[in-house]
Amino acid sequence: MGNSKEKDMVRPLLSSDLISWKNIRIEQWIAFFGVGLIMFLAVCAYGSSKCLSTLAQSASSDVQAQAFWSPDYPLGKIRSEWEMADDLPTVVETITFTPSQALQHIQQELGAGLDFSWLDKNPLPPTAIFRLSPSKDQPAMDIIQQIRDLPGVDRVHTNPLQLYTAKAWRELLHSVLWPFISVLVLTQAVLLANTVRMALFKLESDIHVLRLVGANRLDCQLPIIIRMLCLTAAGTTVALGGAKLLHFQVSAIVSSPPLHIPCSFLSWTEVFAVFLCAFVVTGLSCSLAIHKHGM
Amino acid sequence: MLHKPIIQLRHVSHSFAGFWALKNISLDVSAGEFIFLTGPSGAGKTTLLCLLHGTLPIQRGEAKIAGYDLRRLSAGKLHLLRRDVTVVFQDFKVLPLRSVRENIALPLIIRRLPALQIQRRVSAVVRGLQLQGKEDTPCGHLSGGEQQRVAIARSIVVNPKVLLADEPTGNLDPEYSLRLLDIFGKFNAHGTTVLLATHDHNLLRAMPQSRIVHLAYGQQQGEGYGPPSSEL
Repeated sequence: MGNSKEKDMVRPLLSSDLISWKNIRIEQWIAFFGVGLIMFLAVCAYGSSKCLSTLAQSASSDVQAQAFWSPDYPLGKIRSEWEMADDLPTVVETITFTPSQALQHIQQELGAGLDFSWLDKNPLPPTAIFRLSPSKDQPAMDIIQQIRDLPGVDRVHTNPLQLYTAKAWRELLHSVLWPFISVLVLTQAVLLANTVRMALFKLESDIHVLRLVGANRLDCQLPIIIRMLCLTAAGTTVALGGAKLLHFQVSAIVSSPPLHIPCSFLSWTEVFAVFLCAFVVTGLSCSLAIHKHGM
Repeated sequence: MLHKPIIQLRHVSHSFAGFWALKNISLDVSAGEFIFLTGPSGAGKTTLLCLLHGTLPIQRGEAKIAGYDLRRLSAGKLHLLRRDVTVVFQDFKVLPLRSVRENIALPLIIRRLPALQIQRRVSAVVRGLQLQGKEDTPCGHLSGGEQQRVAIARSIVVNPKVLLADEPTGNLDPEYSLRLLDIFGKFNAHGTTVLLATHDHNLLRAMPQSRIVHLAYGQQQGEGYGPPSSEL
C-alpha cells in the first residue's frame, strides 16, 4: 500500500521536466505543422522532379542517328564498322544501306515504275540508321560522337528536337528544383527560429527561476533544442507519410496508358537525407535563435 | 563553535545609475553562523543579498562566498555558486503553473538526484513547512504566505552551504514566522550558514545569540549580538 502510494508520488516528478511545455503549446504545434508542411512540399518537389527526370531520360532513349559514309571509303571496311557499331550496348537497332540498297529502297518507296538506270553512277552514300538507348553513364551525345569518330564517316544526322528537349527539361528541372528546395529549407529555418524565439519570450520567467536555482545554460537550452528536434522528426515523418500516400495515388494514374510515366518514391538513402537535412536545419536555427536571445 | 569564514566582503560598493545602494561594506561571516541583516527599506539589504547570489555584479571591492570569488566568477560558472548558495526571494520567484511539489523539486532535478531521493527530500520539507495536501496544487493558486513557504522549501531542500533569505517572513503571521525561524535555526545547527534580511524585531528577539548587522542608506551602521536596541 505504502509502496504504491510512494510510486504514485514519484511519477509526477519523473514526468516533470525543467521546461513548462504547457506554456508553449501553440509554438510546438506551429513547429510541428510548419516543418511537416515544408518537408512535404520539399519531398513532393523532389519526387516530381525525379519522375519528370526519369520521363525525360526515357524520352531521350528514342534518339535516332543516321550516319553517312564517304562514297570513296571501301564498302568492306564500312560493313565491318556497321557490325562493330551494332555490337555497342547503347545501340538498340541498326538499319544499314549500301548505295545500291539505298537506291533500291527509294525506288520501292517512290513507286515501282521509277527507273534509275539512266544514272551513270549511284550518287547515294553508304548509310546506317542507329536507334540509340542512352543512359546516365553514356548520354546520347557521347554515343553520337562515337559514331561520328568512326573512320570514313562523312556526317551524322540526329533527331535533335527530342534529344535537346529532353536535355533542356532535365536542366530546367535541376535549375528550378534546387533553388526551390533551398527556399523551403530557409523558410523552415526562419520559421523554427521565430518559433523558438516566441517560446523563449513565454518561458523567460521560468528560465530566470531555473537559472536562480542553479540550472546552467545547457539545462535550459538542451530541452528546447531536443524538443524541437523531436517535433522536426514527427513533422518530417508525417510529411514523408503524406508524400508516400500522394505518390501511391499519383503513380497509379501516371504509370498507366497513355502517360506511362515511371514514378518511383524516394530511396532509403534519400529518406535518410531528408531527415538529416531537417535535423541540421532545426538544430542550427534553434541554436542561433537561443544564442540571439542571449539565454 | 565557529569555523573559517564562508563569506568575506571587503569594501564592497554597488551603484544603480549613479545612486550608491551599497557603500564600502566589509563583512566576515564564519561557516555555520546565523546572521540577521537589518535596516529600513532602501538600506541595501536586498542589494547585498543579490551581490552574494551573483544576481548583481561586484562593481567595487572584493567578495568571496562558499569558496567562490565573485569578482572573478564567470557567467558560465554562476550555476555552481547557486547550487551551494540558495536564496529565498522577497517576491518568492515560484513558477505559478507548476505544482508545489514540482517547484520544490526543481533544484534537485537540476542536480540530477535520483527520483526517490528527490521524493524523500521534498516530502520532508513539505511536512516541515506544513504544505501537506497542497503538493499537487499549482503555486499560482496559493496564498502569498503559502507561496513564501514554497520558496523557502525550495531553498532549504538542497541543504545549501549558505542560505540567503530576503524578508522570508514578510507574508507570514507572527506565530508562523517564529516557527519558520525555528526551521532556519535547525538548518543552521546542521551547518548551513544563514544570512537573513529582515526588519521584523520579533525575529531578532527570538534568536538573541545571533549576530545582527545593521545597514542604513547603503552603509554598515554597526553590528552586535543580542536583542535589538532602540536605534535599530
